Amino acid sequence: MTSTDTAPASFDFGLSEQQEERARRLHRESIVVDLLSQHAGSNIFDHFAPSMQAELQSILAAAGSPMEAFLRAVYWPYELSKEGRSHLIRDWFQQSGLTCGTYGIGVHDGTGALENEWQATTQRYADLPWLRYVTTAAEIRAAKRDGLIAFYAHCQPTTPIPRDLNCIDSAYSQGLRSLMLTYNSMDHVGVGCTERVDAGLSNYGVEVVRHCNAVGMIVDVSHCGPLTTLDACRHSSRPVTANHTGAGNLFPHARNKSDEAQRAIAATGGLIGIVAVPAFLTDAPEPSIEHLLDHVDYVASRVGWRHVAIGTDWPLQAPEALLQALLSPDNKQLGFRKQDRLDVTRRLRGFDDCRDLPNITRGLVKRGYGDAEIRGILGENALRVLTEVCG
Amino acid sequence: MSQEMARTDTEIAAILDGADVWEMTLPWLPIYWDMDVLASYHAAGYTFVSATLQDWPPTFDGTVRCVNRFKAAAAAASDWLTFGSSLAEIETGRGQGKLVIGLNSQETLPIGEDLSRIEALYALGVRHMLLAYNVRNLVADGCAESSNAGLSNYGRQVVSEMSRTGMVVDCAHTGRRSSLEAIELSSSPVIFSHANPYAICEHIRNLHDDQILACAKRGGVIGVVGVGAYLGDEQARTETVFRHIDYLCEIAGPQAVGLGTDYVKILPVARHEARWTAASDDADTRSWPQAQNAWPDPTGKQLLVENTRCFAPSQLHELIGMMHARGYSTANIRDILGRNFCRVYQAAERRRETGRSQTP
Repeated sequence: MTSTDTAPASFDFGLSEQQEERARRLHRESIVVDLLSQHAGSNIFDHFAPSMQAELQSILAAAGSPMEAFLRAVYWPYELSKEGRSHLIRDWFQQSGLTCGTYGIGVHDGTGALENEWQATTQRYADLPWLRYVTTAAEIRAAKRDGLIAFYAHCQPTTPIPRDLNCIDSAYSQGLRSLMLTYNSMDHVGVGCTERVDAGLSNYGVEVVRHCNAVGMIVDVSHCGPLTTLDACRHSSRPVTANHTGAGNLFPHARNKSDEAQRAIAATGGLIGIVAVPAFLTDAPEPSIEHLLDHVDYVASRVGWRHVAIGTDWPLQAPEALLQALLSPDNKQLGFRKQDRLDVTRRLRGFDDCRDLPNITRGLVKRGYGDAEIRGILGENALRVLTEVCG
Repeated sequence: MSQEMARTDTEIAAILDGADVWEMTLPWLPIYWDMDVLASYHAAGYTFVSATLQDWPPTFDGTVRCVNRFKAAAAAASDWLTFGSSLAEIETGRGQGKLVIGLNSQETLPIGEDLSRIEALYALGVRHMLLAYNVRNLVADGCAESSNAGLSNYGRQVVSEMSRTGMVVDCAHTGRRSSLEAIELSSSPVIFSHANPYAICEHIRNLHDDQILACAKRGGVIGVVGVGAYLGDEQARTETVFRHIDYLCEIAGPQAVGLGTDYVKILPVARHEARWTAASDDADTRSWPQAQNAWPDPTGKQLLVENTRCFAPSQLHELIGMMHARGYSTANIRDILGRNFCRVYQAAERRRETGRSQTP
């Protein structure tokens, strides 16, 4: 994974010049939300000066675990920007047309060293002049008006949500507005999607859902198993999201949502965000952005475009060797298995990094979506849910 | 004293003479770290009690501290009490006429996501461990969870590692499906250290016949629990405890039955209101897991633990007399009193010997 195979935002959809112009206008004018952005993507590391890359290698070598190294890799481009040494990540985001991406705030009890470090690290970049951490739809619109990149906080509980609702309140007060109930494995709250068993929420899990509803936190079920997903929709009085997933009946994968799950999510007024992770979308030998768009089409045709969004989650912003250690089935902490086929060397042709976000808009134009539909999928649907749940 | 009663007393004494009498669950609570409780077991003729480590919510460090506290307590009363976890130690203590105190953990939370802590707990003397306590954890579902999940992927690793190290898998408080899967998966007998048949008392803590039969079929043992709420008898009468024993013997055989009375000295609470209230104010001992999640009453028939009595060590003689009077053989009574759980410990120790040559 050393170079992009197409120039940014130039995937050949066979659009006419008029269509290209329409896509450019829509992408420029729209609120573009990536519900699970992984920052700029792994490509960015190849674009720093060799001396800086060597610096990164020594930083990563000092990390105690793959997860710790991942944290340091992800935020290294931000650190360079903060120090004024390189603004590459800012430039890539600005080129991408992204209005709002995501960052992580953990729900934890303050005793985990890595969780604490993660929190301190993300807060360190809150004052970057080109970036704004937000909690409301209005702030996202304002950020676009002001020419800033907005980030809202989503939690993927790779360390399970503690059995103490106060931890959720504490994360909310730090800015968290979207909380996934489980990661891949079973925990106190529910059952994750790569477990050998499937079951609904625990009694405490029901409390977590109700508490999120009460405080104004989006309930997310992306990595949850089928029954926990349905149970969360049943118990939530507010829109539920699966902000990074695919259509399971189009392409079966543990991480995807079945038609039944999509209907349940849509019935809450929620969202299905489509990923750019090749393994979830297809087993085609040459996965491309067309596969992502196939899943968008599928979900839009089943539950309506108002419930479709984008949550790319790929490629991750870390060097490839590190990602291999992190996502290996041997890393039991994350719970991915061999059969989940996560391969860090694979990316969608046409979605190599964040600068390819315009390709999604171009593809939606190619597939005949109207302006309102494209604006909805790109960001307005997400803002609707954010407004309904978080105010 | 009538001649008949005198004869019975002699017979009970004969049954108890040299017998292993095991209490598989004693919550020796911080609200009464007093020696009288243990002394009452010794006086009644028990030879071994498995004390439940008290650290709520359970952590590894807190569990280790509690082990040390129990060992210190035993050392301070070494004329009649001794700490012992292996069968050899238990046998030695019994031979000296002492009550032997061993250890169990009522959660897998202390091991977190680190399987090596199973061996660490074993080394400290812990010999049986519940997979879950009423509510779901990383390993299994608890008996209070209506969604009734099976073992997680990690839970299967935990069960395998427990079998390998000789830590007896204990499915009391564990969910129905999780317990059935653990029994199927474990290479050693699995126990329910303290639980009663649901057929006699409909309570979330009690066992359905499929759990009882699966446990017995693999050589496991069910310890009858003496808490009135799980007996379905506020008074925790000996007659009621016998009914539960008798039901288990009838469907699973006398080789599958033992005692795990879970004796709580200050039940019912009304008589000990001040102490109970003080304990309730102590977040470490009472508020975990939260009652609304851990103690649902799906049938509306459950008695509140706090309102019921508990089968006391002093009722043991009456229980033995009752089994004797109802035609239980001396051999069967001794099996129920302790030999059956001894057999499970033996199997676990043998499994550990073979397991040591295998890599985890």
